[in-house]
Amino acid sequence: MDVRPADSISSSSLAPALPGIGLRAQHIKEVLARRPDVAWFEVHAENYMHDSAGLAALEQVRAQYPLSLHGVALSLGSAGPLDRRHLDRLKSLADRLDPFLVSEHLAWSAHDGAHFNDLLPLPWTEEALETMSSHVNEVQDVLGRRILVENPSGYLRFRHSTMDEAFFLAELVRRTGCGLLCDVNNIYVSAQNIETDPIEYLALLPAAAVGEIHLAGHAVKIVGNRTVLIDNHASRVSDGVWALYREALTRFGRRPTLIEWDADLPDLDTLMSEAAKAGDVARGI
Amino acid sequence: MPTLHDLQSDFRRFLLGEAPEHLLRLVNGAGLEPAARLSIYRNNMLVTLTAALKATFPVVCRLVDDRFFDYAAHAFIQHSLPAGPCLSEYGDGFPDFLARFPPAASLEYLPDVARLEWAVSRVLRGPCPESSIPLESLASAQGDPARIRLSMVATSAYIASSHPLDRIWQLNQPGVASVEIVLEPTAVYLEIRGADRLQIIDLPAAVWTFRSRIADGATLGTAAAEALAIAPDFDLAAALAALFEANLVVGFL
Repeated sequence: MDVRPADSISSSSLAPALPGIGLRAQHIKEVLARRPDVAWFEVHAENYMHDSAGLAALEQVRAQYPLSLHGVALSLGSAGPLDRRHLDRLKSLADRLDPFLVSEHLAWSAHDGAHFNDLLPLPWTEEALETMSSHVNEVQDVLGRRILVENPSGYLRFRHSTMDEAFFLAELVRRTGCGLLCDVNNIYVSAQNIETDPIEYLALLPAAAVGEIHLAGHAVKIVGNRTVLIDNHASRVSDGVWALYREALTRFGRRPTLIEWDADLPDLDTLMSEAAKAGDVARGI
Repeated sequence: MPTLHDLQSDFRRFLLGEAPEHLLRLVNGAGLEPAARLSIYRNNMLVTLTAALKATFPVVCRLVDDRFFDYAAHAFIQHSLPAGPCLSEYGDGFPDFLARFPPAASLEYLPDVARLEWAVSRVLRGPCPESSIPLESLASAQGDPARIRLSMVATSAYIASSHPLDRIWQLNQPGVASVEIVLEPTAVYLEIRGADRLQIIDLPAAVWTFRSRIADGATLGTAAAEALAIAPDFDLAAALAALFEANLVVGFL
Protein backbone atom coordinates (compact mmCIF):
# COMPACT_ATOMS: atom_id res chain seq x y z
CA MET A 1 0.00 0.00 0.00
CA ASP A 2 1.29 3.45 -0.76
CA VAL A 3 -1.63 5.57 0.35
CA ARG A 4 -0.76 8.27 2.84
CA PRO A 5 -3.34 9.65 5.22
CA ALA A 6 -4.68 12.96 3.99
CA ASP A 7 -4.73 15.93 6.30
CA SER A 8 -8.46 16.24 6.08
CA ILE A 9 -10.88 13.84 4.49
CA SER A 10 -14.58 14.38 4.00
CA SER A 11 -17.26 11.84 3.31
CA SER A 12 -17.43 13.14 -0.22
CA SER A 13 -14.02 11.58 -0.85
CA LEU A 14 -14.16 8.43 -2.89
CA ALA A 15 -14.35 5.40 -0.68
CA PRO A 16 -10.85 3.92 -0.63
CA ALA A 17 -10.81 0.63 -2.48
CA LEU A 18 -7.77 -0.37 -0.44
CA PRO A 19 -8.05 -2.49 2.69
CA GLY A 20 -8.80 -0.93 6.04
CA ILE A 21 -8.61 -2.13 9.62
CA GLY A 22 -11.17 -2.45 12.37
CA LEU A 23 -9.97 -0.01 15.02
CA ARG A 24 -10.28 -0.95 18.68
CA ALA A 25 -9.72 1.41 21.58
CA GLN A 26 -6.49 -0.39 22.55
CA HIS A 27 -4.81 0.79 19.33
CA ILE A 28 -5.96 4.40 19.12
CA LYS A 29 -3.02 5.93 20.98
CA GLU A 30 -0.59 4.02 18.78
CA VAL A 31 -2.40 5.07 15.62
CA LEU A 32 -2.23 8.71 16.67
CA ALA A 33 1.44 8.42 17.57
CA ARG A 34 2.59 6.42 14.53
CA ARG A 35 0.17 7.54 11.82
CA PRO A 36 0.51 4.10 10.23
CA ASP A 37 0.08 3.52 6.54
CA VAL A 38 -3.52 2.30 6.70
CA ALA A 39 -6.07 3.37 4.07
CA TRP A 40 -9.00 3.70 6.48
CA PHE A 41 -10.43 2.52 9.76
CA GLU A 42 -13.79 1.20 10.89
CA VAL A 43 -15.22 1.41 14.40
CA HIS A 44 -18.27 -0.01 16.12
CA ALA A 45 -20.68 2.87 16.54
CA GLU A 46 -21.89 1.65 19.94
CA ASN A 47 -18.40 2.08 21.41
CA TYR A 48 -18.48 5.83 20.80
CA MET A 49 -21.94 6.96 21.82
CA HIS A 50 -20.71 8.90 24.83
CA ASP A 51 -19.19 12.31 24.50
CA SER A 52 -16.09 11.02 26.22
CA ALA A 53 -12.32 11.15 25.98
CA GLY A 54 -12.55 8.03 23.79
CA LEU A 55 -14.66 9.88 21.25
CA ALA A 56 -12.32 12.86 21.36
CA ALA A 57 -9.41 10.53 20.52
CA LEU A 58 -11.40 8.96 17.69
CA GLU A 59 -12.06 12.41 16.27
CA GLN A 60 -8.30 12.92 16.10
CA VAL A 61 -8.03 9.68 14.13
CA ARG A 62 -10.87 10.82 11.91
CA ALA A 63 -9.00 14.04 11.13
CA GLN A 64 -6.27 11.93 9.57
CA TYR A 65 -8.04 8.92 8.06
CA PRO A 66 -11.31 8.02 6.34
CA LEU A 67 -13.63 6.32 8.81
CA SER A 68 -16.44 3.80 8.45
CA LEU A 69 -19.13 3.52 11.13
CA HIS A 70 -20.35 -0.01 11.78
CA GLY A 71 -23.47 -0.36 13.92
CA VAL A 72 -23.95 -3.59 15.81
CA ALA A 73 -27.07 -3.00 17.90
CA LEU A 74 -29.81 -1.23 15.95
CA SER A 75 -31.60 -4.58 15.71
CA LEU A 76 -33.00 -3.90 12.25
CA GLY A 77 -34.73 -7.30 12.23
CA SER A 78 -36.70 -6.86 15.45
CA ALA A 79 -40.43 -7.34 15.13
CA GLY A 80 -41.06 -4.25 17.24
CA PRO A 81 -40.18 -0.64 16.50
CA LEU A 82 -36.61 0.59 16.24
CA ASP A 83 -35.06 2.15 19.34
CA ARG A 84 -35.38 5.80 18.29
CA ARG A 85 -33.09 7.04 21.05
CA HIS A 86 -30.38 4.74 19.81
CA LEU A 87 -30.98 5.76 16.22
CA ASP A 88 -30.77 9.42 17.22
CA ARG A 89 -27.45 8.72 18.94
CA LEU A 90 -26.19 7.05 15.78
CA LYS A 91 -27.30 10.07 13.77
CA SER A 92 -25.41 12.43 16.13
CA LEU A 93 -22.30 10.30 15.89
CA ALA A 94 -22.48 10.09 12.10
CA ASP A 95 -22.95 13.86 11.88
CA ARG A 96 -19.92 14.35 14.10
CA LEU A 97 -17.57 11.85 12.45
CA ASP A 98 -18.66 12.23 8.81
CA PRO A 99 -17.94 8.58 7.95
CA PHE A 100 -17.64 7.48 4.34
CA LEU A 101 -19.69 4.37 5.12
CA VAL A 102 -22.39 3.51 7.65
CA SER A 103 -23.39 -0.12 8.01
CA GLU A 104 -25.60 -2.41 10.07
CA HIS A 105 -26.69 -6.05 10.08
CA LEU A 106 -29.30 -8.38 8.70
CA ALA A 107 -30.19 -9.60 12.17
CA TRP A 108 -32.02 -8.79 15.37
CA SER A 109 -30.47 -8.34 18.78
CA ALA A 110 -33.22 -6.93 21.00
CA HIS A 111 -36.76 -7.93 21.84
CA ASP A 112 -39.36 -6.22 24.01
CA GLY A 113 -36.77 -4.10 25.81
CA ALA A 114 -34.16 -6.80 26.40
CA HIS A 115 -30.86 -6.60 24.53
CA PHE A 116 -28.88 -9.73 23.75
CA ASN A 117 -25.92 -8.07 21.99
CA ASP A 118 -25.68 -10.96 19.60
CA LEU A 119 -26.67 -11.00 15.95
CA LEU A 120 -29.62 -13.36 15.99
CA PRO A 121 -31.11 -15.13 12.97
CA LEU A 122 -34.19 -14.20 10.99
CA PRO A 123 -36.50 -16.46 9.03
CA TRP A 124 -36.33 -15.59 5.35
CA THR A 125 -40.02 -14.75 5.08
CA GLU A 126 -42.04 -11.95 3.56
CA GLU A 127 -42.90 -10.65 7.04
CA ALA A 128 -39.23 -10.45 8.00
CA LEU A 129 -38.44 -8.79 4.68
CA GLU A 130 -41.15 -6.18 5.25
CA THR A 131 -39.82 -5.57 8.77
CA MET A 132 -36.24 -5.20 7.61
CA SER A 133 -37.26 -2.97 4.70
CA SER A 134 -39.30 -0.70 6.93
CA HIS A 135 -36.47 -0.37 9.45
CA VAL A 136 -33.78 0.18 6.82
CA ASN A 137 -35.93 2.89 5.25
CA GLU A 138 -36.41 4.51 8.65
CA VAL A 139 -32.67 4.49 9.36
CA GLN A 140 -31.84 5.89 5.95
CA ASP A 141 -34.46 8.62 6.38
CA VAL A 142 -33.11 9.64 9.79
CA LEU A 143 -29.46 9.50 8.77
CA GLY A 144 -30.15 11.11 5.43
CA ARG A 145 -27.90 8.65 3.67
CA ARG A 146 -27.73 5.14 2.30
CA ILE A 147 -26.56 2.43 4.66
CA LEU A 148 -24.96 -0.93 3.95
CA VAL A 149 -26.52 -4.08 5.40
CA GLU A 150 -24.25 -6.98 6.30
CA ASN A 151 -25.06 -10.64 5.69
CA PRO A 152 -25.00 -12.65 8.93
CA SER A 153 -22.98 -15.68 9.98
CA GLY A 154 -25.53 -18.48 10.23
CA TYR A 155 -25.82 -21.46 12.51
CA LEU A 156 -29.35 -22.52 11.62
CA ARG A 157 -32.09 -22.15 9.06
CA PHE A 158 -35.76 -21.83 9.95
CA ARG A 159 -38.04 -24.36 8.30
CA HIS A 160 -40.64 -21.75 7.42
CA SER A 161 -38.23 -19.63 5.37
CA THR A 162 -39.67 -19.10 1.91
CA MET A 163 -36.59 -17.73 0.17
CA ASP A 164 -32.80 -17.91 0.26
CA GLU A 165 -30.80 -15.48 2.36
CA ALA A 166 -29.03 -13.99 -0.67
CA PHE A 167 -32.34 -13.48 -2.45
CA PHE A 168 -33.69 -11.84 0.72
CA LEU A 169 -30.77 -9.41 0.67
CA ALA A 170 -31.19 -8.70 -3.03
CA GLU A 171 -34.86 -7.94 -2.47
CA LEU A 172 -33.99 -5.72 0.51
CA VAL A 173 -31.69 -3.74 -1.78
CA ARG A 174 -34.44 -3.46 -4.40
CA ARG A 175 -37.04 -2.25 -1.88
CA THR A 176 -34.91 0.20 0.09
CA GLY A 177 -32.00 1.25 -2.09
CA CYS A 178 -29.60 0.22 0.65
CA GLY A 179 -26.17 -1.15 -0.16
CA LEU A 180 -24.62 -4.39 0.98
CA LEU A 181 -21.70 -5.14 3.23
CA CYS A 182 -20.56 -8.52 1.99
CA ASP A 183 -18.91 -10.37 4.86
CA VAL A 184 -16.99 -13.10 3.09
CA ASN A 185 -16.13 -14.88 6.34
CA ASN A 186 -19.82 -14.98 7.24
CA ILE A 187 -20.68 -16.54 3.89
CA TYR A 188 -17.94 -19.12 4.41
CA VAL A 189 -19.05 -19.87 7.98
CA SER A 190 -22.72 -20.19 7.00
CA ALA A 191 -21.88 -22.43 4.06
CA GLN A 192 -20.19 -24.89 6.39
CA ASN A 193 -22.80 -24.65 9.13
CA ILE A 194 -26.02 -24.78 7.14
CA GLU A 195 -24.75 -26.35 3.94
CA THR A 196 -25.22 -23.55 1.45
CA ASP A 197 -23.16 -22.97 -1.68
CA PRO A 198 -20.96 -19.90 -1.13
CA ILE A 199 -20.32 -19.34 -4.85
CA GLU A 200 -24.01 -19.42 -5.60
CA TYR A 201 -24.60 -17.04 -2.70
CA LEU A 202 -22.14 -14.52 -4.17
CA ALA A 203 -23.78 -14.91 -7.57
CA LEU A 204 -27.20 -14.03 -6.15
CA LEU A 205 -26.03 -10.77 -4.56
CA PRO A 206 -26.52 -7.64 -6.68
CA ALA A 207 -22.89 -6.76 -7.41
CA ALA A 208 -23.49 -3.06 -7.89
CA ALA A 209 -24.94 -2.77 -4.38
CA VAL A 210 -21.87 -4.18 -2.63
CA GLY A 211 -20.17 -1.22 -1.00
CA GLU A 212 -17.81 -2.96 1.38
CA ILE A 213 -16.31 -6.36 2.13
CA HIS A 214 -15.45 -7.77 5.56
CA LEU A 215 -12.79 -10.39 6.22
CA ALA A 216 -12.23 -12.03 9.60
CA GLY A 217 -11.10 -15.18 11.32
CA HIS A 218 -13.33 -17.91 12.66
CA ALA A 219 -12.99 -20.74 15.17
CA VAL A 220 -13.48 -24.41 14.34
CA LYS A 221 -15.54 -26.33 16.92
CA ILE A 222 -16.93 -29.82 17.08
CA VAL A 223 -20.60 -29.87 18.10
CA GLY A 224 -22.12 -33.34 18.27
CA ASN A 225 -20.47 -35.10 15.36
CA ARG A 226 -20.29 -31.99 13.23
CA THR A 227 -17.69 -29.38 12.58
CA VAL A 228 -19.16 -25.96 13.28
CA LEU A 229 -17.45 -22.71 12.38
CA ILE A 230 -17.89 -19.87 14.85
CA ASP A 231 -17.52 -16.32 13.58
CA ASN A 232 -15.42 -15.01 16.46
CA HIS A 233 -13.11 -12.39 14.87
CA ALA A 234 -10.23 -13.68 16.96
CA SER A 235 -7.67 -14.97 14.48
CA ARG A 236 -6.17 -14.51 11.02
CA VAL A 237 -8.34 -14.93 7.93
CA SER A 238 -8.42 -18.60 6.91
CA ASP A 239 -7.18 -19.91 3.56
CA GLY A 240 -10.72 -20.85 2.55
CA VAL A 241 -11.95 -17.32 3.21
CA TRP A 242 -9.06 -15.83 1.20
CA ALA A 243 -10.08 -18.06 -1.71
CA LEU A 244 -13.69 -16.95 -1.42
CA TYR A 245 -12.52 -13.32 -1.24
CA ARG A 246 -10.86 -13.79 -4.64
CA GLU A 247 -14.19 -15.05 -5.97
CA ALA A 248 -15.98 -12.06 -4.48
CA LEU A 249 -13.55 -9.58 -6.03
CA THR A 250 -13.80 -11.33 -9.37
CA ARG A 251 -17.55 -10.87 -9.24
CA PHE A 252 -17.83 -7.44 -7.58
CA GLY A 253 -14.59 -5.73 -8.55
CA ARG A 254 -12.41 -4.03 -5.95
CA ARG A 255 -14.31 -2.83 -2.93
CA PRO A 256 -13.28 -1.25 0.38
CA THR A 257 -12.24 -4.32 2.36
CA LEU A 258 -11.93 -4.47 6.13
CA ILE A 259 -9.89 -6.74 8.37
CA GLU A 260 -12.07 -7.36 11.44
CA TRP A 261 -10.38 -8.62 14.58
CA ASP A 262 -12.28 -7.95 17.80
CA ALA A 263 -11.26 -10.59 20.36
CA ASP A 264 -7.77 -11.72 21.44
CA LEU A 265 -6.63 -8.55 19.76
CA PRO A 266 -3.12 -8.74 18.24
CA ASP A 267 -0.73 -5.85 17.75
CA LEU A 268 -1.37 -3.25 15.10
CA ASP A 269 1.36 -4.62 12.83
CA THR A 270 -0.39 -8.00 12.63
CA LEU A 271 -3.59 -6.27 11.55
CA MET A 272 -1.64 -4.27 8.99
CA SER A 273 -0.07 -7.45 7.60
CA GLU A 274 -3.54 -8.96 7.13
CA ALA A 275 -4.68 -5.77 5.40
CA ALA A 276 -1.60 -5.87 3.18
CA LYS A 277 -2.45 -9.45 2.24
CA ALA A 278 -5.95 -8.34 1.25
CA GLY A 279 -4.36 -5.66 -0.89
CA ASP A 280 -2.13 -8.25 -2.57
CA VAL A 281 -5.14 -10.44 -3.33
CA ALA A 282 -7.00 -7.49 -4.84
CA ARG A 283 -4.06 -6.53 -7.02
CA GLY A 284 -3.89 -10.11 -8.29
CA ILE A 285 -7.44 -10.09 -9.65
CA MET B 1 -46.33 -20.31 10.85
CA PRO B 2 -45.39 -18.09 13.82
CA THR B 3 -45.28 -14.34 13.56
CA LEU B 4 -41.85 -12.75 13.74
CA HIS B 5 -42.72 -11.39 17.17
CA ASP B 6 -43.70 -14.82 18.49
CA LEU B 7 -40.57 -16.40 17.08
CA GLN B 8 -38.40 -13.76 18.72
CA SER B 9 -40.25 -14.20 22.02
CA ASP B 10 -39.54 -17.93 21.95
CA PHE B 11 -35.94 -17.28 20.95
CA ARG B 12 -35.56 -14.97 23.92
CA ARG B 13 -36.88 -17.71 26.21
CA PHE B 14 -34.34 -20.12 24.75
CA LEU B 15 -31.51 -17.65 25.32
CA LEU B 16 -32.53 -17.46 28.96
CA GLY B 17 -32.42 -21.21 29.45
CA GLU B 18 -35.81 -22.54 28.39
CA ALA B 19 -36.45 -24.85 25.44
CA PRO B 20 -39.72 -23.75 23.79
CA GLU B 21 -41.10 -26.62 21.69
CA HIS B 22 -42.48 -24.22 19.07
CA LEU B 23 -39.01 -22.88 18.42
CA LEU B 24 -37.28 -26.26 18.34
CA ARG B 25 -39.74 -27.46 15.71
CA LEU B 26 -38.98 -24.45 13.52
CA VAL B 27 -35.27 -25.13 13.30
CA ASN B 28 -33.98 -27.30 10.49
CA GLY B 29 -31.49 -29.56 12.25
CA ALA B 30 -29.69 -30.79 9.11
CA GLY B 31 -27.34 -33.15 10.90
CA LEU B 32 -27.42 -31.41 14.25
CA GLU B 33 -30.07 -31.25 16.96
CA PRO B 34 -32.09 -28.02 16.74
CA ALA B 35 -31.27 -27.31 20.37
CA ALA B 36 -27.56 -27.65 19.60
CA ARG B 37 -27.86 -25.13 16.78
CA LEU B 38 -29.80 -22.70 18.97
CA SER B 39 -27.30 -23.18 21.77
CA ILE B 40 -24.57 -21.72 19.57
CA TYR B 41 -26.40 -18.39 19.73
CA ARG B 42 -26.93 -18.71 23.47
CA ASN B 43 -23.23 -19.41 23.92
CA ASN B 44 -22.25 -16.51 21.66
CA MET B 45 -24.48 -14.21 23.70
CA LEU B 46 -22.93 -15.41 26.96
CA VAL B 47 -19.42 -14.99 25.56
CA THR B 48 -20.16 -11.44 24.38
CA LEU B 49 -21.88 -10.30 27.55
CA THR B 50 -19.32 -11.98 29.82
CA ALA B 51 -16.52 -10.27 27.89
CA ALA B 52 -18.34 -6.96 28.33
CA LEU B 53 -18.57 -7.53 32.09
CA LYS B 54 -14.90 -8.50 32.24
CA ALA B 55 -14.00 -5.29 30.44
CA THR B 56 -15.92 -3.26 33.01
CA PHE B 57 -14.93 -5.32 36.08
CA PRO B 58 -11.34 -6.48 35.38
CA VAL B 59 -10.26 -6.24 39.02
CA VAL B 60 -13.18 -8.35 40.21
CA CYS B 61 -12.20 -10.90 37.55
CA ARG B 62 -8.59 -10.92 38.69
CA LEU B 63 -9.61 -11.31 42.33
CA VAL B 64 -11.82 -14.35 41.73
CA ASP B 65 -10.17 -15.84 38.58
CA ASP B 66 -11.68 -16.32 35.15
CA ARG B 67 -13.70 -19.47 35.87
CA PHE B 68 -15.45 -18.08 38.90
CA PHE B 69 -16.07 -14.80 37.10
CA ASP B 70 -17.61 -16.64 34.14
CA TYR B 71 -19.81 -18.61 36.54
CA ALA B 72 -21.00 -15.46 38.30
CA ALA B 73 -21.39 -13.55 35.03
CA HIS B 74 -23.52 -16.28 33.46
CA ALA B 75 -25.79 -16.31 36.49
CA PHE B 76 -26.04 -12.51 36.38
CA ILE B 77 -26.81 -12.47 32.65
CA GLN B 78 -29.69 -14.92 33.10
CA HIS B 79 -31.00 -12.64 35.81
CA SER B 80 -30.35 -9.30 34.17
CA LEU B 81 -29.96 -8.82 30.41
CA PRO B 82 -28.72 -5.47 29.11
CA ALA B 83 -31.43 -2.83 29.06
CA GLY B 84 -29.71 -0.91 26.27
CA PRO B 85 -27.65 -1.48 23.16
CA CYS B 86 -24.26 -0.16 24.37
CA LEU B 87 -22.20 -2.83 26.10
CA SER B 88 -20.21 -0.28 28.10
CA GLU B 89 -23.48 0.64 29.85
CA TYR B 90 -24.09 -2.95 30.93
CA GLY B 91 -23.37 -4.03 34.48
CA ASP B 92 -24.85 -1.48 36.83
CA GLY B 93 -26.62 -4.26 38.72
CA PHE B 94 -23.56 -6.52 38.92
CA PRO B 95 -22.21 -5.19 42.26
CA ASP B 96 -25.55 -5.74 44.02
CA PHE B 97 -25.85 -9.13 42.35
CA LEU B 98 -22.45 -10.12 43.75
CA ALA B 99 -23.56 -9.00 47.20
CA ARG B 100 -26.45 -11.48 46.98
CA PHE B 101 -24.51 -14.25 45.18
CA PRO B 102 -24.01 -17.03 47.76
CA PRO B 103 -20.80 -18.48 46.20
CA ALA B 104 -19.15 -15.05 46.68
CA ALA B 105 -20.39 -14.55 50.24
CA SER B 106 -16.96 -15.08 51.80
CA LEU B 107 -15.47 -12.24 49.72
CA GLU B 108 -17.04 -9.38 51.64
CA TYR B 109 -15.08 -6.73 49.77
CA LEU B 110 -16.02 -7.98 46.30
CA PRO B 111 -19.31 -6.05 45.83
CA ASP B 112 -17.58 -2.81 46.87
CA VAL B 113 -14.70 -3.45 44.46
CA ALA B 114 -17.34 -3.94 41.77
CA ARG B 115 -19.00 -0.66 42.81
CA LEU B 116 -15.66 1.10 42.43
CA GLU B 117 -15.12 -0.43 38.98
CA TRP B 118 -18.62 0.55 37.89
CA ALA B 119 -17.92 4.10 39.06
CA VAL B 120 -14.62 4.11 37.15
CA SER B 121 -16.42 2.89 34.03
CA ARG B 122 -19.11 5.54 34.42
CA VAL B 123 -16.77 8.49 34.90
CA LEU B 124 -14.63 7.42 31.95
CA ARG B 125 -17.76 7.52 29.78
CA GLY B 126 -18.54 11.02 30.93
CA PRO B 127 -18.35 14.08 28.72
CA CYS B 128 -14.92 15.49 28.07
CA PRO B 129 -14.10 18.26 28.60
CA GLU B 130 -16.71 19.81 30.88
CA SER B 131 -16.58 23.53 31.62
CA SER B 132 -16.38 24.14 35.34
CA ILE B 133 -17.40 27.37 37.02
CA PRO B 134 -15.29 29.35 39.55
CA LEU B 135 -16.03 29.90 43.23
CA GLU B 136 -16.90 33.52 42.46
CA SER B 137 -20.02 32.28 40.66
CA LEU B 138 -21.57 31.64 44.06
CA ALA B 139 -21.68 35.38 44.68
CA SER B 140 -24.04 35.84 41.75
CA ALA B 141 -26.42 33.08 42.89
CA GLN B 142 -29.80 34.34 44.07
CA GLY B 143 -31.36 33.61 47.47
CA ASP B 144 -30.20 31.87 50.62
CA PRO B 145 -26.71 30.35 50.07
CA ALA B 146 -27.66 27.39 52.27
CA ARG B 147 -30.39 26.45 49.78
CA ILE B 148 -28.13 26.44 46.73
CA ARG B 149 -27.76 23.13 44.87
CA LEU B 150 -24.71 22.67 42.69
CA SER B 151 -24.37 20.65 39.52
CA MET B 152 -21.24 18.50 39.62
CA VAL B 153 -19.22 17.17 36.70
CA ALA B 154 -20.53 13.90 35.29
CA THR B 155 -16.97 12.61 35.40
CA SER B 156 -16.90 12.23 39.17
CA ALA B 157 -18.29 9.60 41.53
CA TYR B 158 -18.20 8.86 45.25
CA ILE B 159 -17.80 5.44 46.86
CA ALA B 160 -17.37 4.73 50.57
CA SER B 161 -16.40 1.34 51.91
CA SER B 162 -15.10 -0.39 55.01
CA HIS B 163 -12.51 -2.10 52.80
CA PRO B 164 -9.38 -0.49 51.30
CA LEU B 165 -10.77 -0.46 47.79
CA ASP B 166 -8.18 1.91 46.39
CA ARG B 167 -5.32 -0.37 47.45
CA ILE B 168 -7.10 -3.45 46.16
CA TRP B 169 -7.76 -1.69 42.85
CA GLN B 170 -4.17 -0.49 42.49
CA LEU B 171 -2.68 -3.89 43.33
CA ASN B 172 -4.77 -5.54 40.66
CA GLN B 173 -3.99 -3.36 37.69
CA PRO B 174 -2.39 -4.83 34.55
CA GLY B 175 1.34 -5.19 34.95
CA VAL B 176 1.25 -5.32 38.74
CA ALA B 177 2.68 -8.64 39.90
CA SER B 178 0.33 -10.89 41.84
CA VAL B 179 1.08 -10.73 45.52
CA GLU B 180 -0.77 -12.15 48.44
CA ILE B 181 -1.18 -9.54 51.13
CA VAL B 182 -3.38 -9.14 54.11
CA LEU B 183 -5.31 -5.90 53.98
CA GLU B 184 -6.75 -4.79 57.27
CA PRO B 185 -10.29 -3.47 57.09
CA THR B 186 -9.86 0.25 56.54
CA ALA B 187 -12.65 2.68 55.86
CA VAL B 188 -12.12 4.62 52.65
CA TYR B 189 -14.03 7.57 51.26
CA LEU B 190 -13.19 7.66 47.59
CA GLU B 191 -13.67 10.33 45.00
CA ILE B 192 -13.27 9.00 41.46
CA ARG B 193 -12.53 11.52 38.74
CA GLY B 194 -12.47 10.66 35.09
CA ALA B 195 -12.45 12.73 31.92
CA ASP B 196 -9.02 12.46 30.36
CA ARG B 197 -7.17 11.12 33.41
CA LEU B 198 -8.49 8.71 36.01
CA GLN B 199 -7.89 9.63 39.64
CA ILE B 200 -9.03 7.75 42.75
CA ILE B 201 -8.62 9.93 45.82
CA ASP B 202 -9.22 8.93 49.44
CA LEU B 203 -10.85 11.97 51.08
CA PRO B 204 -11.42 12.80 54.75
CA ALA B 205 -14.83 11.43 55.74
CA ALA B 206 -16.40 14.85 56.25
CA VAL B 207 -15.14 16.22 52.93
CA TRP B 208 -16.38 13.07 51.19
CA THR B 209 -19.78 13.45 52.81
CA PHE B 210 -19.96 17.12 51.79
CA ARG B 211 -19.03 16.43 48.18
CA SER B 212 -21.04 13.25 47.73
CA ARG B 213 -24.19 14.82 49.17
CA ILE B 214 -23.82 17.79 46.82
CA ALA B 215 -23.36 15.34 43.96
CA ASP B 216 -26.58 13.63 45.07
CA GLY B 217 -28.42 16.96 44.74
CA ALA B 218 -28.48 18.07 48.40
CA THR B 219 -28.39 21.77 49.23
CA LEU B 220 -25.16 23.31 50.46
CA GLY B 221 -26.80 23.69 53.87
CA THR B 222 -27.71 20.01 54.14
CA ALA B 223 -24.34 18.83 52.83
CA ALA B 224 -22.51 21.08 55.29
CA ALA B 225 -24.68 19.96 58.22
CA GLU B 226 -24.00 16.29 57.46
CA ALA B 227 -20.27 16.96 57.15
CA LEU B 228 -20.25 18.84 60.46
CA ALA B 229 -22.07 15.95 62.14
CA ILE B 230 -19.13 13.73 61.19
CA ALA B 231 -16.37 16.23 61.99
CA PRO B 232 -17.25 19.21 64.20
CA ASP B 233 -14.09 20.97 62.97
CA PHE B 234 -15.19 20.67 59.32
CA ASP B 235 -14.09 23.89 57.57
CA LEU B 236 -16.96 24.74 55.25
CA ALA B 237 -15.25 27.71 53.58
CA ALA B 238 -12.13 25.69 52.81
CA ALA B 239 -14.15 22.68 51.58
CA LEU B 240 -16.22 24.88 49.30
CA ALA B 241 -13.14 26.58 47.87
CA ALA B 242 -11.45 23.22 47.28
CA LEU B 243 -14.53 21.88 45.55
CA PHE B 244 -14.43 24.69 42.99
CA GLU B 245 -10.63 24.63 42.67
CA ALA B 246 -10.86 20.96 41.73
CA ASN B 247 -13.06 21.99 38.77
CA LEU B 248 -15.85 19.75 40.01
CA VAL B 249 -18.72 22.22 39.72
CA VAL B 250 -20.32 22.94 36.37
CA GLY B 251 -23.34 24.99 37.41
CA PHE B 252 -26.40 25.33 39.61
CA LEU B 253 -29.40 23.02 39.84
